[in-house]
Amino acid sequence: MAHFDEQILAVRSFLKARSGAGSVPLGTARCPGSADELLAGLPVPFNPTPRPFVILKEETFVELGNPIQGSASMVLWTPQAEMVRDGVVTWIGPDIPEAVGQSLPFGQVILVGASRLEEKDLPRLERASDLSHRLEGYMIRYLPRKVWSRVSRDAAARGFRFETLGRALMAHYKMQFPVLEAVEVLFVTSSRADVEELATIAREAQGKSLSIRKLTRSQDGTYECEELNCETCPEKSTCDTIRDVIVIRKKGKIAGIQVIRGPADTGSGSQRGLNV
Amino acid sequence: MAGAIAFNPEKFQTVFSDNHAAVQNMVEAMQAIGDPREAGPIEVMKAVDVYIRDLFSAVEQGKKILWHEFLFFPEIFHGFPNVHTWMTETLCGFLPVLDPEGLTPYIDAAENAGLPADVCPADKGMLGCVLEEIMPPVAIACAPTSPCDSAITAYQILGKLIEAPVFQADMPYWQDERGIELYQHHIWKMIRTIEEVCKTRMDWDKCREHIKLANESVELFIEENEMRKLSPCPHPGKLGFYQFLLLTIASGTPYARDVCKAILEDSKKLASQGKGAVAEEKIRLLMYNPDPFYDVGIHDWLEDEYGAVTALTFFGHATMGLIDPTTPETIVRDYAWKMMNICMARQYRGPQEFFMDDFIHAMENWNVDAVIVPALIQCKHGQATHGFIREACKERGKPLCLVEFDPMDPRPASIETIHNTVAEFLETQVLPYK
Repeated sequence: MAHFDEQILAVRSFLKARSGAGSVPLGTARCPGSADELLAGLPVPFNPTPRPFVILKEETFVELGNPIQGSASMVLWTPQAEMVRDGVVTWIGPDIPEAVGQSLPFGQVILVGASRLEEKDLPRLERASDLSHRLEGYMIRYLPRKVWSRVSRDAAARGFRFETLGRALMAHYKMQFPVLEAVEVLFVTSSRADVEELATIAREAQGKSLSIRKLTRSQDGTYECEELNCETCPEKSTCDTIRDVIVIRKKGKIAGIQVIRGPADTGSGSQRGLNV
Repeated sequence: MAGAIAFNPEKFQTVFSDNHAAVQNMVEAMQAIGDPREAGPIEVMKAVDVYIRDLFSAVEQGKKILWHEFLFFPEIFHGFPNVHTWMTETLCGFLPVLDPEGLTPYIDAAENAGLPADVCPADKGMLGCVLEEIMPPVAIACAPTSPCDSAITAYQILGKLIEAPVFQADMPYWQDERGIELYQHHIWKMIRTIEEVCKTRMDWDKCREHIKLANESVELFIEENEMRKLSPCPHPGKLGFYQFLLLTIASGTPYARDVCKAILEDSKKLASQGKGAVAEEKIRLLMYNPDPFYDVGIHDWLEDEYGAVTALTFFGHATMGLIDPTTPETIVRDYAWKMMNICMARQYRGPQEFFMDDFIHAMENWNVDAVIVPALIQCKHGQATHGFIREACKERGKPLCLVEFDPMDPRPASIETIHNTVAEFLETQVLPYK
């Protein structure tokens, strides 16, 4: 099964570089382990069954991840749970209470450690990063591999901050996937450049995630086959079709189209035909 | 090439004047009926009126007319001075709306000329309009290689039928860095080709203004999407269809932005009053593939007969992003990304996950009770999704109706047949369990 140790290490390097920077605000919260403990005392309700609501522009306290400002989102899984610091929420850049009226670049990284996850769980794992309407006062506008969201004034007034969002995400993951051993969350609002650096890592992760069964996609875009016997390979029909298309293409394009004016039987009038 | 089809001013004027009148009559009729659900469609059709008038002026003034495929939104082309844009499939989109059989003569013309019947009606219709000489003049035609092989082939055929050059930008398979680079490269090449063919030069300041208007329209469209999550859904199911078609023809114009603004304001007003498209919302539906163009009123019928509002449609799903207008490089890069993410271009390429992720997201976030998927007869890649769709609906306990029809030709499956299929589905699979 695809895992993302390389991308997790890249995120760790990113974090380390920013920790040493000094000028960039950085916060960390160490949160308790279980889903119930994570949700206890949240300033806004968390509804496991989402109930749709809308936060209009005029009700917005802060906007996160508008594509113009920069947005990135990824979920990185590893079977080595020790690579993930369970219960840790980190934010780099301004926290929500400090960002009134702003539209901030936003990166969201969810690290998941689980030795017993299966390949079929991976799409669900990625989809779970969209909290939908579960966290009151936090509305997500969906874009692939990005998070574009709004925090309402009301939620901010009640104390909504990145720790709140981090705890909700971790609780949601633990409820959805009981086999998870560790969940960690990172938020980045420091700058567009920082978020774009995360976006690069996200794209690499996406490429891995979409690896075709029996085929792996290498760095230069070519596909390498791992199956030794074509006769038993389930992708054989795909390969055969690709070979046929290559042969057709090599023979050249359609020579031309002749427009014949007139009805088919008399050769005169206004009818047209396409002769290929 | 022998027999290239030239512009026929008489035929163009006749057909377009008739249809212009039909658009105006449609607006008047909807206004007279006074159904509050028509508020959005009325504004869209008024914008179509403006669009056609602008086309007449452009033809009269002898401007260079750039045909663009519906998955190349026109905002970037508005940056070219003295170039007027025409969305190539406009007649395919609006003729069936005005008259259910409005596009069939042109579909028949294409089939009689040798096009297989199992080609998408958008492409048959477009080529039929070209063959019948009713299209406006063309200096250059631009198209992406999306959403499908049918469209790719249609534009290759178009290139043999008209004297003007046809430029096809190669849409990448993947949504990754290499893909964006490739597509940017093709967009730049397209810009240079347009400059050469139309003897013009991109005015980036002018382009920037249209990009900003396009961004405003997208933000408003996304916000309207979000309003549709509310129960009752403020606006009718058919609105997404109209709003998407508006953006394909007029994204980047002030009047398109104004229509999107009016739609959202109306939505907010209705939501604040607790009003919805139906007096009593009993069922929320997801319709995730193109609506029947000749029967967009199916949504009205669902609302009136069953209290069933289509909370979200495929065309109405705002999946595109914004364009950073700062520099030419950011404009081209983000335009490339936006075009890779408009509905259809986004879902109907790459692995099935591209479609299924959006489908599942729509199902889960718009709080729907049941799903209707138009199983478009000619859409092979669409047909290939059905197994995955069944699985996803089953996992989430959502009843599913796959209803086969041709989206622009009412003859293969009549309006009555479609209604009967949907009615049976609602009455046996949905209502008894509500």
